[in-house]
This record gives sequence, structure tokens and C-alpha cells, in this order.
Amino acid sequence: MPADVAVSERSVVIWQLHAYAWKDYAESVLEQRIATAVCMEGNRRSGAIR
Amino acid sequence: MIAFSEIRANAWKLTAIAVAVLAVALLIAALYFRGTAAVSDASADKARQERDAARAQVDALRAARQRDVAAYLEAAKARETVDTHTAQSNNRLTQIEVRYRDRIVEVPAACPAPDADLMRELGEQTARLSGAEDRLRRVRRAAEGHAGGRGGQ
Repeated sequence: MPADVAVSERSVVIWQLHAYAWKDYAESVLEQRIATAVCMEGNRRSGAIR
Repeated sequence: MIAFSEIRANAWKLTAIAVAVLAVALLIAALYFRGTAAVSDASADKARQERDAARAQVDALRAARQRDVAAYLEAAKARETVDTHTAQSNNRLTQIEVRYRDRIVEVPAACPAPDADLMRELGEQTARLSGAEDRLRRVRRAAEGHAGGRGGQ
């Protein structure tokens, strides 16, 4: 998870990078969920699980 | 003096007794063998059942092993996908931070406009995120369709 930025931070770029880090985190979580779903589907297709 | 006919009669009598004893002995032997055969049949049936059970266990074990291998391969694939994505993501983030490090300055006076290049990067990331969402939706739909198809069979 991205580290918190001090509320007193005045640099716009820092906040933009913070937003980028959160988006990146969301993207990685989403990618993990996709990989899990694909894995489950593969297991279902091969008959390992129902 | 003993007459020949008497001797013959006695001989016949003894022969008859011997044959009767032999018949009884044969009867007892037959009963014994019959019992033994029944026990042998039961043992053979039991052995056959045990063999069938062992064969079923071996088949189940083989199927479980195949499932295990398939699941391992799928998990390895998923792990590789996640690892690749994590590496790409880290690389991207590092590059962006390096690129924007010199632009990190405090702007205390007027409210500054957002960095245009970073806004573009954020826009690209948003597109990637919605693409990932679409992919997840597609995978889910496919899984649901597959599950529904199996359920309908």
C-alpha cells in the first residue's frame, strides 16, 4: 500500500505521485484478482475443482 | 466242516460291510471338501473385493495426482502473471518518480496547475485500470457461463 503523504504537503507533484501510487496499487490488486480468476477457471476446466 | 457257500456268504457280508464303511467315509470326505470349497469361495470373493477396492484407490490417487499437477501448473501461471505485472509496475513507478523528482518543488503562492505530463500518465493508468476491470468482468462472465453450462448438463 502506498505510504501516506503529510497533509501539510504543498507540492502538487507529490500529491499527483501519491494518486499514481494508489492507482498502481489498485491496478496490482485488480491484476491479482484477474490472475486468481483465470487460475480458478483453469482449475475448473481441468476438473481439479468444481 | 465249513461249507463253501458259508464262506462265500461271509465274504459277501464282509465286503458289504467294507463297502458301507467306505461309502460313509467317502460321504464324510465329500462333506468336508464341500465345506472347504465354500470357505475357499468366500476367501476368493473377499480377495476379489479387496483387489477391486485397491484398484479404485489407485485410480482415485492417479486422478488426484493429475488434478494436483494441473492445479500446480495453473497456480504457477497465475503467480508468474502477478510477478510479471508487479515487476512492470515497480519499474514504471520508479521511472516516473525519477522523471518527476526535479519537479517536486513547493509552490506556496498561487494554486499551481497539475503537471500536464503526470496528468497524462495518470490518464494512461486510468485506461489500464478500466481495461483490467473489463478483463476481470470477461473472465467472470466466462466462468459463470462455464459453470452454468456444467450445471445445465
